This record gives sequence, C-alpha cells and structure tokens, in this order.
Amino acid sequence: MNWKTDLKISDLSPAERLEITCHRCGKVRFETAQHMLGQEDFLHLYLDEVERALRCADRFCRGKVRLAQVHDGKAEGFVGGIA
Amino acid sequence: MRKPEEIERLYLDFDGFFASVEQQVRPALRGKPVGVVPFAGTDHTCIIACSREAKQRGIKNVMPIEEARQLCPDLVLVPQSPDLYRRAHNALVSEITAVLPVDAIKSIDEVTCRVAPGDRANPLSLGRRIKERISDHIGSYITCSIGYGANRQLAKMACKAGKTNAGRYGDGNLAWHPHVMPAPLLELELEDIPGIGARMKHRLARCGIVSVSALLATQPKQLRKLWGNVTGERLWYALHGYDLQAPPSQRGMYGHGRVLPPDHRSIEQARLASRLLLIKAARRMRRDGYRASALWLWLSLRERGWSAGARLAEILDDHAALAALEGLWRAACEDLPPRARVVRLGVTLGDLTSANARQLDFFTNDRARQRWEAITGSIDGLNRKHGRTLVSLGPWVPPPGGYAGGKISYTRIPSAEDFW
Repeated sequence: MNWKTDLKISDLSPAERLEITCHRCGKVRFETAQHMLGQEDFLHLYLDEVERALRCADRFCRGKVRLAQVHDGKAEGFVGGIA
Repeated sequence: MRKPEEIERLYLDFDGFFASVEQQVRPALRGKPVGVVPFAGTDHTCIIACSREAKQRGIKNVMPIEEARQLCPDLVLVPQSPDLYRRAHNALVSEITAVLPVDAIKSIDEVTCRVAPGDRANPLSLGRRIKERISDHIGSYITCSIGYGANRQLAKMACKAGKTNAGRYGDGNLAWHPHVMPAPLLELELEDIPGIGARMKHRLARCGIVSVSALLATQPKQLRKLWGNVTGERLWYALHGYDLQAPPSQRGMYGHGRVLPPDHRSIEQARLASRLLLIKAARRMRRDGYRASALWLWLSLRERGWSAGARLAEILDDHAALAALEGLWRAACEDLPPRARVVRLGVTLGDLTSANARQLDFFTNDRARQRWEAITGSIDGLNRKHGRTLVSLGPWVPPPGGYAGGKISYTRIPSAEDFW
C-alpha cells in the first residue's frame, strides 16, 4: 500500500512526468502521463498495476521497474528568509 | 492586505532528513548516533546532517568531524547518498499529496500546504494523518515536525518551535492559532526568526531592538529602512499574521562547484572536471528552457583564488559553452604557476534569457550555431533515451567521489538526469 495504489494514470495531469527506474540495471527513463494514457492497456490501471506491468526499456535487461512522481515544478526558494 | 482569522497554512519539516533516511534503509544504523558526511575516508570535513540520537548527544549540523567525535566517540559516519535522498523526497511528497495537495516545496526536506477550510478548526488531526501515512507507507524511522499558522512564515516558525518542544527533538505537531498570537512569538529569541542572522541582529541592537516584543512594536516602514529593502517590511507583515509569502523568484544562473580530491588537483585534472560540470550545468539550463550570455570559471587554490568570465552570444549548446571554457582555461594557465593545485572549482552560466526569445546574431556564424544546437539536441535525446551519458562532446571523466552535478543544496533538489 502506498500512493501508487490510490492513483490512476488518468488522475494525473497530462504533462506530469513519471520517473521509471529499473531495479536491475538502474536505467532511468521519463514518460509523461499523457504518453502513458495513449496506451489503452494502462487507461484504467492504478499506478501500482502500471508499475507491475512495465519492464525496463533496455531489451537485454527487461527488469522490473520502480515508478516515481517528479515534483520539480513546485520548488520555491526563500526570499530574504521569508518562506 | 488580508489578515487571516484562522489557520490557513501548514509547514512540514522532516527531522534530520538525510540521517533518518539512512536509518530507514539501513537497519544497522537504527538507534545509533549517525552523522552524514560529504565524503568517506577523510576527517577534514563536517557533518552535514545528524540523527536524533546524535542531536541528543550535542552534535549539530555543520560541525567539524573532529569536534563531533570528541562529543560522541561512537558516532557512526555515513557518506551522503544524494540519489537516495532525492528518491525518498519524491516518495514522501507523493504520500503527503495523497492527504492534501502540496502548495510549494521549499527544500528537499520542507514542504508547505494550504489547510482546507474543513481542517482549520482542528489542524493537528490533519498532521497526525500525514504522520500516520508516512509511517505506514514509507517507514517509522522517517519522522517529521509540522507547524500551522496564519501564513507560511508563522507556520514555519511553529514547526521549528514544535520540533524542539519540551526538551525532545522531532515529531512535533504545533499550531499557532491567530487568536493566541503574538504570545508564542514573545517566547522566542530574535535569531529564531528566519531572516534574522547575526549581522541583522547587531543592526537591530544598534537601534535598541533586542527582543521579539521590541521587533513587533516597530512599524513596517521602520523595518524596511533597517533592512534596506522591502524584505524588512514583508517580515513585519508576516510576523503580524498577514497573508504574505515569498514572491516567486527568477532563476539567474546555472552552475556547479566541486572540491577536488587531493590526488586530482592538477590543472589538467581540474580542467577535465570543469568540462563535465559545465556540460551538466548546460543540460539543466536547456531542460529549463534558457540560454546563457555569460560564463564564469572560478578556482580556489591553497594560497589564492582565481576567477574569470567570458561573454557568450545567448548560447545553449555544449560546443559554444566548452569553447568559452577552453578560452578561460588558457587565461588561467597563463596566470597560474604550472604546478598549481586546484582545491575547488566552479563553473557558472549566467545572464539567462528564455530559449524561445532568442535574438539572431548577425555577427557570428548563425548557421554553424544552429548546427551545433541541433547536434546538442540529438546528444541530449540519445542520453535521455539510454538513461545515461552515452554521448558527450570530448572526454567524460567523472571526478572521484561520484555525484558530480547531483549536489543537494538548500533550495535545489536534483533530478535523476543530474546523476548521469
């Protein structure tokens, strides 16, 4: 149980990037939610199910992957110490 | 300006983040005083984060290792793992978002959220829900302190006050309701207020402001004059509970710095390291959609420093950036003795403009530039496709110690691409 069991791909904003990391070889790739929604198999799946269905993009590896959200658009600095 | 009459903001700060992540993933470290250090194998550095157990023994962040060892001889030193902390940050923010939307990420271990109207009467239960979720879904060794207030600044201060409440450290959950303000502020020292450092404290003291109550009794324009800019006035409104937060800031530069290991400090080794750092900075700049019109190279030697800059023609491609860097290194080689030892170096791309607001340059060969930009785009595409640095212009020699370009700073959270 984690955030992936609560969310479907269709719950994400289309431009949101997902980080997909291979457990075996460590290869990282990024996919947008929009691109993944284009694959009909994923349309109604929760993210943990998508994670189980995905495999490493390296054709010689094909290891299991870990899915993560990328939150880089929300970072804001402090200005003069003010939050 | 609006003055909220109930709690509207939440501020969450993870307790000893790097150390608690290490304790979560490595059971052997649990319950022990842990200090996270930048590199393994040297005592000439400092603790960058420490666990709750270490803090209870008097260890503080940015404490030299030697001093920390004297206070706590059984301190376990762990070299930092920036990629692990980055992944933990992403997972933790996703879990927090499952409870309530994150308004802003202030640093790798601090986030702030808006409290929904339904939760404002009893915000502490909201905090407990977040803590339970993190404990259940990530792990019980990563704890956080949460503060609530009328604005972000008060929520942050409440968070800090709750973290060290009643002689314990961490797992705080403290609300400063607007109707009890400013009583909790009066218990603080001036330097407990974010934005007041040692110099500002002296400046305030010269004007007879030596306590928080004296600070609160000032007028907004008075603080503006004391600060010399609008920050003082903003702080006044924030401390008085007005709905105010830091304005969005514009990015001004992209750069990377590096302390070189003792056996990698020759001019040639420093030059190779600077190429790699510059390519990584240029990649980040392109990802964010900027071009640079200036490049700076700075070197720290044992006995002196050296720095120089070069003007660029609103470039974004690696070729132009590296050509300018080579020019700076030629100048450095003329100025520095041949056996100079470079302890620390940094490269910075500055004077940024938006990548889609490019002004064509009639005086340089624009066709050649566009070709190099296309080549750089192809290189980025290949590297992205393969999830590593498969192609680069010239040698790609990562300096020992790893994580070049993946450093976590106070406001920068690296991306997976920064570790390629």
